[in-house]
Amino acid sequence: MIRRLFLDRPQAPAPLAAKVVTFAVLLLLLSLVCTGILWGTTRQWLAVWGYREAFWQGWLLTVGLSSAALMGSSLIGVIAALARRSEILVIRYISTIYVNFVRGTPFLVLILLLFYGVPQITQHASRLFVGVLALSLFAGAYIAEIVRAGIESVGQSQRESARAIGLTRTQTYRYVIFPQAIRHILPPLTGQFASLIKDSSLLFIIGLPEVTYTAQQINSATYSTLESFLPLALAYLALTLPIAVLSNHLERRFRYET
Amino acid sequence: MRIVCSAVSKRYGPHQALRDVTLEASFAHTLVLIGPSGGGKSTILRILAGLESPDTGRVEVNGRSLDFSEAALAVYRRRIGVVFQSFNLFPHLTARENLLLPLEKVHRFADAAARADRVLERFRLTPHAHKKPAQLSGGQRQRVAIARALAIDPEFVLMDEPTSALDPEMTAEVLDVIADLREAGQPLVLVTHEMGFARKTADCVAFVADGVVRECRPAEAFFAKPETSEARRFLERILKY
Ligand SMILES: Nc1ncnc2c1ncn2[C@@H]1O[C@H](COP(=O)(O)OP(=O)(O)OP(=O)(O)O)[C@@H](O)[C@H]1O
Ligand SMILES: [Mg+2]
Repeated sequence: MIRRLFLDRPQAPAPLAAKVVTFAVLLLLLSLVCTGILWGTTRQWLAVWGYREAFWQGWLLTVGLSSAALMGSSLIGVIAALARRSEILVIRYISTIYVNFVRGTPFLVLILLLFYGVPQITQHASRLFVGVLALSLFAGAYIAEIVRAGIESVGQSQRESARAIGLTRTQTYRYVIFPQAIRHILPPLTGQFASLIKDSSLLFIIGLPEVTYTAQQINSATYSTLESFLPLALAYLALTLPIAVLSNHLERRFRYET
Repeated sequence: MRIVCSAVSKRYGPHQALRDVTLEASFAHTLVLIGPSGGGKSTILRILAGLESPDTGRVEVNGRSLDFSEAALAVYRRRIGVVFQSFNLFPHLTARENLLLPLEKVHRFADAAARADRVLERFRLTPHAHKKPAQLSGGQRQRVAIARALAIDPEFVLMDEPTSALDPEMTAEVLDVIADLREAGQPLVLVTHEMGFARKTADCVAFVADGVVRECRPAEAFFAKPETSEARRFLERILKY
């Protein structure tokens, strides 16, 4: 009987109390584990606490470069998606090669390629610029596919209607295709933004003092273990959790609207 | 209104949709295209609408020969109102916004809003002006589509089976609206399977089968006694039920 209460099935949803109890028990277990691990680490915590200003600066840099890459990758993504639908072969192929190359290459390799492989860029640009560029190019390829799928979700009959009433190609995109595609694009796009923020952590490899790099510095300065990296995880969650919630919300809203 | 097609052919891959179509129709109000499924009615209508170019042949509408370059077609399409079989409204816009889009963005009428409201009123759609297509019945949706086609004061209107996706009651509602166009003096080319309606409203009937216009004659004469045996058989089959 009690066991029944903890099953959540579509035909017999679990009562709220069961959900609360389950969650509370898990939380309790987790805090026990944490206490066990953290026991007697007060000194290191104090040492790490001394670096809070550097950590904060690193986090701000992560937020800043993620925001810049968010705009950059959206721009690249939309352009690449439109280019992949171009009638001009050269443009279409360039976009196809870009998307497939980037999606088939690990981000770390891409950063190294860009930073060490193209000295023309690194000689004249800051690490920050290279970092934002790498992140934009990387996320842009995924966004291009999301945007393309969104555009293709708008049916042929809609394009035909737009043509019949006399809209130009640009007007058709602006007034007919994009407003309808956006509901297919927005939920996965917000999810992609969460990935972008997480992927920015790999930029530590080129010595960009974002939050992961900073946490590593703090770690080696204080000989701490968990004390530098647990806050790091939380710092990323603080950014990605709200986005995940937003993404879920958008998905539900758009699903019911049509 | 006068439509002349000479030796118009259109091929889709291996399939010859139209073969040397020759059609000469002068009519005051309504030309109706009828014929068996797959015969080429929609293809003719799409060419007249400037949505498709024939492979060969010449088309003349009201004395002007159609130029099938995309740029010329884009200009030509603006003068025409088109209503397709399936609902071709934009689902993200309300009924009123659907009317406004071509009025504002294509024709740039200064009085676009007033025009839209007037046409909505005329089709008794004012109470539904702020509903999206998903919130309208099939008949209402098709009436909005007709209203959108008429709001721009088109030179003529093309309709491809505007009632075939509707149940009988909604069909009657939409046919009433189409019959009113005749009163209003709006030239119309219509593809329909509603023989009773065709008989009542058509000035001229073109019978299309196997990619060819077999007959094009005044409606009364056609329905009284079709000249070709195909048309005779087609009418018999359809009128049997
Ligand atoms: N876009 C297309 N691609 C390939 N074949 C097509 C296309 N459009 C039409 N056809 C073919 O051309 C022929 C004529 O089609 P059309 O739509 O003009 O017939 P219709 O007389 O309108 O038929 P229905 O009464 O069923 O609507 C058909 O055999 C059809 O399969
Ligand atoms: Mg058809």
